[in-house]
Amino acid sequence: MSTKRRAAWISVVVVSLITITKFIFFSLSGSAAVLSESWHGFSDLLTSLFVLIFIYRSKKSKPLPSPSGEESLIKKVFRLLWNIDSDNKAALLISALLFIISITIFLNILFYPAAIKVSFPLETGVTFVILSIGSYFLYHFQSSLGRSVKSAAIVADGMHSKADMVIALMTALSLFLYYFNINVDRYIGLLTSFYIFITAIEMMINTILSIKGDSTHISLTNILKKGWSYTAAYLLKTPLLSLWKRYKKRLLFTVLLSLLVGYGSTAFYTVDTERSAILLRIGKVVNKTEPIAPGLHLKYPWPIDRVISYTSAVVYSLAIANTTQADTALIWSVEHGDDQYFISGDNNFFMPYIVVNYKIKDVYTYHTFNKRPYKLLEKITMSYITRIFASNSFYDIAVFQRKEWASTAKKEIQQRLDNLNSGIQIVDFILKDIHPPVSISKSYEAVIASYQKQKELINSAQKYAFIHTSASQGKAHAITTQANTFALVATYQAEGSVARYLGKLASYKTAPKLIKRLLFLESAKQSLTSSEKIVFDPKTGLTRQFLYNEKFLFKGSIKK
Amino acid sequence: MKKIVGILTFMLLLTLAYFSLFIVNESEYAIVTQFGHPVSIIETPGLYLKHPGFLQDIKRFDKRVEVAETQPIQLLLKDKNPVVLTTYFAWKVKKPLLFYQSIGTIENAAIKLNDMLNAQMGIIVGEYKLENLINTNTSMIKTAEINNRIKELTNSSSIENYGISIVSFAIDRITYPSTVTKAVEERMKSERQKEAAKIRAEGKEHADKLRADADREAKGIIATAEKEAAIVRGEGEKKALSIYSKAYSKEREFFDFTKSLEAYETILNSDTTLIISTDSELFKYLEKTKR
Repeated sequence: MSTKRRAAWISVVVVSLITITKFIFFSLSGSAAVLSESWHGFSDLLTSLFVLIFIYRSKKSKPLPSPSGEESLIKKVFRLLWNIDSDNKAALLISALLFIISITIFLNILFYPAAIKVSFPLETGVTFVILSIGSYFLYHFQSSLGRSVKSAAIVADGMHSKADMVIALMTALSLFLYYFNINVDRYIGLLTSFYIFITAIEMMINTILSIKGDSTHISLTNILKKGWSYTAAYLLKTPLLSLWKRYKKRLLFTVLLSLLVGYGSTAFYTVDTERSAILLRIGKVVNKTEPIAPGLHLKYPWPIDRVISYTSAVVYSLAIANTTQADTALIWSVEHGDDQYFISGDNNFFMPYIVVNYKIKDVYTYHTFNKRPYKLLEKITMSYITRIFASNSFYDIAVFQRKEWASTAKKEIQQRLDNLNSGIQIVDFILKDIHPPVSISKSYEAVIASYQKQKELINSAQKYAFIHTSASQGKAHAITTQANTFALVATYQAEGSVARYLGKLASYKTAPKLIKRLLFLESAKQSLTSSEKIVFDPKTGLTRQFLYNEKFLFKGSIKK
Repeated sequence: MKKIVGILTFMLLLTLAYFSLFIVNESEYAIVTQFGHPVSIIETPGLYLKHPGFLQDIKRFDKRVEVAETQPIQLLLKDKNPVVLTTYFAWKVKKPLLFYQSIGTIENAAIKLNDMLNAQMGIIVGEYKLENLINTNTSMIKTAEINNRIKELTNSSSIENYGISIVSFAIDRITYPSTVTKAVEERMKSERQKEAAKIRAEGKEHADKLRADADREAKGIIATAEKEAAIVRGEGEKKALSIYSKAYSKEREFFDFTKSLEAYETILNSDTTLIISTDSELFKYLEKTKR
């Protein structure tokens, strides 16, 4: 086997391995840049195969002779191309292929949608560095061999390998940056395509020059390199770089020392006043029972120890159900909150607004057993109040047992949180507001108004009862008093009368006739004093009957 | 050159260590896979070794309890009442390898559990009536029983098939479909109106009772007083008469005489006209004087 053929075979084998590796890494990482690189690798493989084929064909093909008569343009172009020697043909094809690839990649990157997620960026990046080293060795091998056997195709393929090396390095850099959350895929891709484009143009120019018999070698990459060199030279003149040259060692030492100090600082950590922390040593929590108190502490440096801290002293608030903004009035008839209604045991709708104040009571439990303990608190509270509301009447919840059930809720929710190792302590359970839906609020207010009306009616009746009863009692008292007075008077009168009578009787017994007559005359005096009297003399012929008639039937005819 | 080789070797070793060593935390499981094939499951925290780079991969899963809620679902109860239920579930990975193979991610697990729980709810909740969910008589409430049954049934499948276990499950919200909601609101309004009217009527009834009672009591008080007064008067008269009878029974004729005189004094007043004859006893001495 000739040297040319051996070199071409080596190139095919190496590029095949590199391309396969790239495809494997695309399947692992899913990176679009790596996918482009993989297809680029595939095109490289085709290029190497072209080189191989043309090396094999170089001895078999015979040149087409020039026609004696007139020849069409197409035929002329075809004849000229056919008659180019195999090396240059291969070089032309490779450059054309690279040109197409560079344009395709450029357009793809330019119009590629949003960046996609890349897995194993670090591992893939390292692999691409290794691949770039492979490409570098291939480039050296092909360049030196191509120059020694004077094969333009092998030299061109070597240049291609160099371009591959640069592309692989750029891709690796892009992946490393991605690992540190810096996504420059698009820009690296554009640079890559530009580099391939420059390589293709350079190859094309040099091949055309070679076909024409011109041995001049134009290197666009060298021109670019020179541009960079001039820029670097200009920069080297600046005082900053002269300083760098002068103090290089000291600066390097300072950087190294800074890095060491930086790493050493990972052995110190502080815990703020309002926080508590746990220390993880190679994944295991060291302080399960006692959290790390605020202050400066020492630990093993990264990555052995890791500190996780939480603000355990702060009391958090969790608003549940019909949460309302702080500046909104909590009035029944005004829409507020998100109008999530609950159902009471007596089948009525209502909107509660509950605030649960809580804090972290055990940092280890809070961190270790639940992913989102605060979410657990919210859900447990919601399910608890749903159950409690569904088993009590609205008025019991809202009015009569409001204090009792709120207190019970705190205890029972805490119990459930403890059972699930939440590490949370409920500080307050506040039923901030509870009201019926706005559309029904007026009906509820009417009920409350009715209670007031009921009380008013009762008060009025009680007033009436009070007045009437009191008046009756007064009247009754008067009646009783009068009766008592009457009885007393009657008795006294009787006693007085009897005493008088007994006095008279005693006198009467001593001189009955005299006393009797005396009494009679005294009485006559008393009786007759005030009365009208008609005294007549019977001897005159007047009778009582006559006088009576005169007095009562013929009034006043009698002269007094 | 030696220095460069030394630095490069050191860096290579560091890189190798970086890609080969890994830490498993207390709150996670780790599965080491080799080209997709699981080779070891790590459940205890610590430092572990694996083949470098992509040769072996680590899948980490949270050991901690995760919380999610099911999408609201409308169900028909045994008594044909429709309800819309939302639940929450707290779950964790119990068998990491099975979880990795069957579900793979937390998001997928939540979706899977949501489907399973809603399916179980459809079956179990249909065996209960509305009064088992909403009732002031707590002995009729079966929410805890429903929660437990759904949790147990779902767990029996989720642990075996997906390696995940539900640690807590409960009905989180109970609501009605919108049409029922409107009807309930109308019913609530009418109930409140009825209640308001009843309260007013009760108030009036109570007030009327109070007034009637007051009237009755007032009349009773006066009647009692009058009764007592009559008794007292009677007693007084009785006592007076007794005094009189005791005194007057001693000399009957004199009593009649004095009482008659007293009666005259009372009867004969300015309106009385007496026709007296000059030959009466009263004028006896007047006649004698004439003579």
